[in-house]
Amino acid sequence: MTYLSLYRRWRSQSFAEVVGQNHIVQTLKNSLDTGRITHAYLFAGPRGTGKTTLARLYAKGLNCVNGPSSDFCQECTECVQITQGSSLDVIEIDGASNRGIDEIRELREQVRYAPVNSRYKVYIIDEVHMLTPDAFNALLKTLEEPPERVVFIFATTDPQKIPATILSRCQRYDFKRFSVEEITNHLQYVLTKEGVTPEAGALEIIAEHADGGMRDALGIADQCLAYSDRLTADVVSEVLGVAPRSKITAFLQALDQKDAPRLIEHINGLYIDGKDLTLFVHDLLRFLRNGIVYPQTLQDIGITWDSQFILRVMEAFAECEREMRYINDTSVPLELAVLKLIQSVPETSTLEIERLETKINEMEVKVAQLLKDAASIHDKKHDVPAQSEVLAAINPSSDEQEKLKTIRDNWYNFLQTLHDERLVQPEAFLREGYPVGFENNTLIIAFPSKRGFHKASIEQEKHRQPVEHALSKMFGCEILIRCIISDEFQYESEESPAADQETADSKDEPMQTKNESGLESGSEPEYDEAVNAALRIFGGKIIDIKKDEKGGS
Amino acid sequence: MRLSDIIGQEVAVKTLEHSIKKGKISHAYLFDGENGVGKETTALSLVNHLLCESKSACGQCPDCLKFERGNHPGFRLIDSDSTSIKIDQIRDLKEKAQFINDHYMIWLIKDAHKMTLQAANSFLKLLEEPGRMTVFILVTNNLRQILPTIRSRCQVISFSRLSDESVHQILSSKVDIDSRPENTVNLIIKMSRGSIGKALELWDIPFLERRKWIIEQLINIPSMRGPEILGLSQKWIEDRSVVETDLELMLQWYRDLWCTKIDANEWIFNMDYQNELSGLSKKYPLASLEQITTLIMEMIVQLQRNVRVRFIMGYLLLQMRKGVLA
Repeated sequence: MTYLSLYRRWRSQSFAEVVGQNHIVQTLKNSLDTGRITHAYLFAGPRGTGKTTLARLYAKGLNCVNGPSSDFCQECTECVQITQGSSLDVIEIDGASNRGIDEIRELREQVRYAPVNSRYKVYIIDEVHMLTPDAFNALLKTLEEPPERVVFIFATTDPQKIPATILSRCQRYDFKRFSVEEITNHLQYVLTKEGVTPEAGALEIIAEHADGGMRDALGIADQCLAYSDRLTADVVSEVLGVAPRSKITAFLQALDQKDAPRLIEHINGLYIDGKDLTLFVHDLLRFLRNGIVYPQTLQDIGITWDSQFILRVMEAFAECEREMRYINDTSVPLELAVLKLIQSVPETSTLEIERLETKINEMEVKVAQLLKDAASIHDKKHDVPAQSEVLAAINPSSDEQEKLKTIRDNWYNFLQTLHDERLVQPEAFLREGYPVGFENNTLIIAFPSKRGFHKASIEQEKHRQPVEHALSKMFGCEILIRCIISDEFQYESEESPAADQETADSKDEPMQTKNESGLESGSEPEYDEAVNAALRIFGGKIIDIKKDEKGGS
Repeated sequence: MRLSDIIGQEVAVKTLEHSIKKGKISHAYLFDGENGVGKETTALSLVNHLLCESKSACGQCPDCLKFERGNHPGFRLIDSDSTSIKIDQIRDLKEKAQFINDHYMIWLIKDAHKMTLQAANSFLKLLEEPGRMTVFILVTNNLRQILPTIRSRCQVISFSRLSDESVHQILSSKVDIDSRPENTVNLIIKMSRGSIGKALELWDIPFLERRKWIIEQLINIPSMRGPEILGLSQKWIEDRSVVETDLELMLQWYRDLWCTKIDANEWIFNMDYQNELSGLSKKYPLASLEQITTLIMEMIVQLQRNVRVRFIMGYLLLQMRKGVLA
């Protein structure tokens, strides 16, 4: 006698045993318990999601001696007969074999007779999508108004093929694929009952490859148990003919490192091992898809591609999967796809990054050196290349005082430019300081003693560098900065009208208002400074100035 | 033949042997794998085991003898009529499979992917829950074309490609392997890519000569001129099976050029032409090797869509010439 496979042995025999599909189970149970029985149901969904199983359970619920009830006894003749498939009143028809109009005519004849020895006559028509259009049409009248005590249950994997006239006469239930978790839990339950202890990871692989079908999952488990007494991840991989996860990661790492010979070795190794390369490509695609959704999975194996490149790799593999269908030697399309990809792998592997980092460091040193050299050369040679973004080119021949003046004249424009270039932080710090001197191509910026924090901040490498860069760019010669603490700066700022001039030019109003409000600039320097600063930062105009306690800032 | 005599299919054989020993024979198997790797041989061996009185394919008992003579009532074969397996064949099967037997009733369905949609669907109910002594063995080389609903009802046994040693072993049991130089034998084994069927095909002398001719043309192409190339393309006749093999030879050749170019010499197929490969690879930039290989694959696809052979060859050869470095 053939062995009864797991998926047949563990077909749910009561509603309580059913896994998942809660939305359907609950509805069917309620309809049995409240007696709201419809005469036509359509169960639609992918293979192995419980359509036939639930149809049989519903039939039991209807016909159980103690029913109709969702809690049928499993012991009465009706229940037992339905389980065995020998009930006279629950008629299971294979729609794909009895698909013509003649079979349906015969069915219509039969439908008219009352049930033999139970409450309802239940017709379960499986694979109903295979009925011919004529057969469907012959069924319409019966389906709309069947004799009393007749219930039709249609099951199909392909509801699109069913005419709208049939659909509109049925209550439709859509079965969902099982989640990996549901399958894993159910497998665990079944296998424990079978006396098998699966090892970690094995069930997950089965569940992933079952693609939402419980029958597929139990079938694979059965097969693994036929192959080996122990259920381990390796056994499952071997039985399914898939490459273990480690091969996939190694393959992608080789791709990342542009190691062509190793990739070809990988592919041929798999090919000779008899792994199905289309399956391998499929697994690669699945892995990369996860990599897009959860970038961590890729980072864990040291790959730092951006999502755009991942998509490109996926497209290449998808294309390669298509080509494999036509070419006997499936390894060649994969090899070629990979070799093509290699040319476009971004240079971002860890090794590559390290290499680049050292390179950049070397270059920084060199650039600093060059800058020093260039500065001295500039001083002698007097030629500054005109740059388009230059705010105001400093004439290198001019003496340092003049240079300082140029910078001061354009100081607020410069800060605005920093702001526009999104260097907001350095800009904010610089607002507290003011250029006070210029010597040896170094701009000296003074900060008041209260603003030590700002000075310290601007001295940090990450702020100083972009500022120096921007300065050099805007004034057309190499400029470094040095910061000092000096309270003299206020006098300096007063001395040179540039700052106020700037503000006055661009913001005429505030100056006027200030004058109107009778405040003389210079009479209360500190106060004035604060107002100016506020104006600079926030803009707008001054309507009235109320003096608060001193020192409040 | 016993399962244990089958060479190179360890996983499949072990699964089946284990199932027989533990009495866990499934009611439906789907054997999947390339042509010529031993699917049918294994299927017949499994049938023999199941029908044998001692379940060991002893070759002595009346059942084994009957099976060998091909008239055991417990075994039926269903084959496609060249294009498809029709619903009537499955209806017939269902009628016969209804009877309940004391002994195994085993059905071997060859080329199961050739079942029509109707045939496959009408098979589903029986395939899921057949009588208690019925076993179906479906064999296919194209799992993609099998309905998911059929597939999910079967234990899918995957047959791998054979290792080079296995091919050597089987080949030597079928032909006089010493009659050819060792180089040739190794080449044939390498090019068979794990299929004993393919290896036997390659064993024919015409094939080797054909290969030599093709490779000679490919070596000459860089020095040929337009008219000569078009003349060459006229040498192919409208015989698709020949052209398909030729195209695959070309694909392997250009793939080898590519491998030579990137220093993956270890993996080239045409080991006997290593010198020519390394000379020729210098004449092509990598990008045009990429284009040509992609084009050959495209042409293999076009061939199956009934494009004229001479168009394919003319276009392809011209592109091969065009790709050479100026």
